[in-house]
Amino acid sequence: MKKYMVFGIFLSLIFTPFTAPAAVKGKCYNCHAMHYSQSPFPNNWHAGEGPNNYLLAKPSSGFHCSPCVSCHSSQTSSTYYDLGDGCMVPVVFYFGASEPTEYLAGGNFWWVKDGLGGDDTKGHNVFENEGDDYLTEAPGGKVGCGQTNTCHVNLHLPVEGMMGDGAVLNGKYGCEGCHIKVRHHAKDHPNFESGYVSTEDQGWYRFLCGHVGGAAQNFGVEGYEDNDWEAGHPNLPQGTGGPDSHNEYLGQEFSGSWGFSLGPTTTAFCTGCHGDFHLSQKEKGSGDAWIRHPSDSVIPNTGEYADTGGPGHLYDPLSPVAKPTVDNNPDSTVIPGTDMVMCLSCHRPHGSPYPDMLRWDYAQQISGSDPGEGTLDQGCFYCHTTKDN
Amino acid sequence: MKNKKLLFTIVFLGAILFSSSAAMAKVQGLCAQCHTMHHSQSPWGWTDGGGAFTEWPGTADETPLGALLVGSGGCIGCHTAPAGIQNDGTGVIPYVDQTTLPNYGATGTEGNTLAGGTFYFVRNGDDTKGHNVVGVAAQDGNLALQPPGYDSTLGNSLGLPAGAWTDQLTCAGTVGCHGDHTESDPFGAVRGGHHGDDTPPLDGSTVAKSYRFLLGITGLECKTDGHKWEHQPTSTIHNQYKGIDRAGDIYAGSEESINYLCAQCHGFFHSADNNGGDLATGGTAGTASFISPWVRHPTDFDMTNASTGEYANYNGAGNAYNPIAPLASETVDTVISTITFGGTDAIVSCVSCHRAHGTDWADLLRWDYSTMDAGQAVTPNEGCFICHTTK
Repeated sequence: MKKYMVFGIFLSLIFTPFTAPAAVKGKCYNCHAMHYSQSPFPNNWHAGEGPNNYLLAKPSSGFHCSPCVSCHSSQTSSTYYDLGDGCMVPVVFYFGASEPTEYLAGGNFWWVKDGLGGDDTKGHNVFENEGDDYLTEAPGGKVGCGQTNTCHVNLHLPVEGMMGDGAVLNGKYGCEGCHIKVRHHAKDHPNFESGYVSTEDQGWYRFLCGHVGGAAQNFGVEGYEDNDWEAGHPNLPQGTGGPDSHNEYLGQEFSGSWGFSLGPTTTAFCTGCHGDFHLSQKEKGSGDAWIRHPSDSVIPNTGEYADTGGPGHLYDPLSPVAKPTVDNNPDSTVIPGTDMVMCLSCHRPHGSPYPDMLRWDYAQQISGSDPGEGTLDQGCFYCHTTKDN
Repeated sequence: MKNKKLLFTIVFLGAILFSSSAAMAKVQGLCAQCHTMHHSQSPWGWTDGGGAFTEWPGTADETPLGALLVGSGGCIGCHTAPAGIQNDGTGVIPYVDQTTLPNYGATGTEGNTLAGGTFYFVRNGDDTKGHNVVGVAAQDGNLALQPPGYDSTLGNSLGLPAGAWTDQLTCAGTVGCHGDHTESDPFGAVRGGHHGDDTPPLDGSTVAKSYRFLLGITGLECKTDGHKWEHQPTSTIHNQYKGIDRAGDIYAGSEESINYLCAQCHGFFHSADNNGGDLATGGTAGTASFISPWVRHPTDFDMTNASTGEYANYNGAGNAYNPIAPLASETVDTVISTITFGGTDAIVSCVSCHRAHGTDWADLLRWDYSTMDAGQAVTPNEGCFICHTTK
């Protein structure tokens, strides 16, 4: 009897589904070089561009730049590529000669890069020494660390002068200005699979978190990460839901503050550099007069907003909303009165084809254009459903 | 079969040709023309679909406005024509003030100002030529803050001061003309108006469904391209103002009239309900006669009821509607081109003689009162004499 019990337990252990917790996969040598002195030097790495932090090698197929950009760039794909052994890498910087026609949820840096799109209104300026021609610091900024070139101010120059716990930030700029604790080996979900991420152990949502040192260090963004980073923008269909359908963003309606005191949301994260855009949304003393576009604010279930998403309230990845709760089963619908408009409802943080990193062309949003019955409301009119009538 | 086809064709073509051309006048145009999301744009302005860049008024450093509007100075920021620009009856924004001198002309009907007139002249220092609205001009140097003819009993019932005014007039709101008077903030007062459904008939039920956002007031708005907001009106292309054929100088029953809008601040010039008002000799509300001899110029009075016959010759032979001295009507579902004197279409009104925003003439008059000479050999058909045809 005992023998059969042991055998049964053994079989159950074998056949129980087991999900590997690591994010990346494949041969270690696809990404790491121990001494950066290989001979002969592997032809899939950039020669002479190392050693680098975390023993990273730079793929020769990537753009000659920081290790982040080298890996997450491609001249042939604007969505993702196979680094080797089926390890899919999201492309946030396509460097082909012509602008990409499809991209990921966060957009693409093509449009802001000098020598390519070259338009500082169309992306965050993350490339070293390629500052914004129009802005001297992050617009709507609220906080600074008091040192030179902190990421709260700009992203194109390395941080200097940080002391104590914050000293690890010195020298950082660009990608690491937002993706502060990058943990490719975090225990979240396997590469090219979806999953809900809510802790530091899991690396936080897309590695977005507070920085080392200061009140924000233990906080980060929670959310559901889509397996292919929502590849296919801007043409993803409305109304899809369930696992592997789209990212799902967390929102919490909270006014009068900024930073992670707002909750573990992407809006809270954005306020680290653009705080006034959330903190000063309403005119003081006048009740509910909006003077800036709401963020992490519940879409009313009244008036024109009650028709957000059309008659079927279809979720639109082009104009995503934040949900008060997020799980492993993204919604196919948007719920006015519950779901929230957020920063990412209108912007792509890496870059987009449109000024102000918008998800659509604001210069083509025409009030009163009367598009006719049955026309899909998109862009501003996804929520402002009657203003195009 | 042939006849049926012909009939169908006629009906089909008729439907196309004679469909109401009263296109909705809710705002049209690029959202970026009026709205900025975070008030931090750099460069400060908007780019149209063709790539042309236009600067917004004001700067990004200024305090953001309500409703995410660009510009400065509140409502007047958007409704002021930039330098070198004038109304031409085709645009999407009615300009009630101008940076560059407008052409008002002799009567405001042949130049580039609109039905309500222009604040240009009061803004440039003549308090007699316009309403002294916040953002346009300082308070009136002659009248201070108190509207002449103010009936505090009526006014206070509507949320206005019970006694002396302590606030200057605003475009909209509690101490303004446009929008909801229960809202103190001008932007809040017109909420729902610009993007609201203003398909005729206007019933005054909401800001959008009220004549020119004058909540509660009805009428027919001129929207004909080339003549929008009564740019260069004619006898057949003009606003149609709501009036009431009153039997006595009382407020009751006139609440939809354009004259009632004026009465909210200038009540004694409209009605005798409360002490201080009277239009005709002979007492107070209800018992007052409402016929000559007048002690104040009549309003919400149909000239069909006038005691003399000169008014039946309004605007000369044929009695064509004259936009220089417009008459209101009780029915406002169509434009009236000829005055019939049937009892409801010859209603003299405040706007028969005044333009609410301002004009180039004293007392916001539509024409120059100082040139009205009685007793000429032939009475000219102009100004006062469009109605007073024998004087």
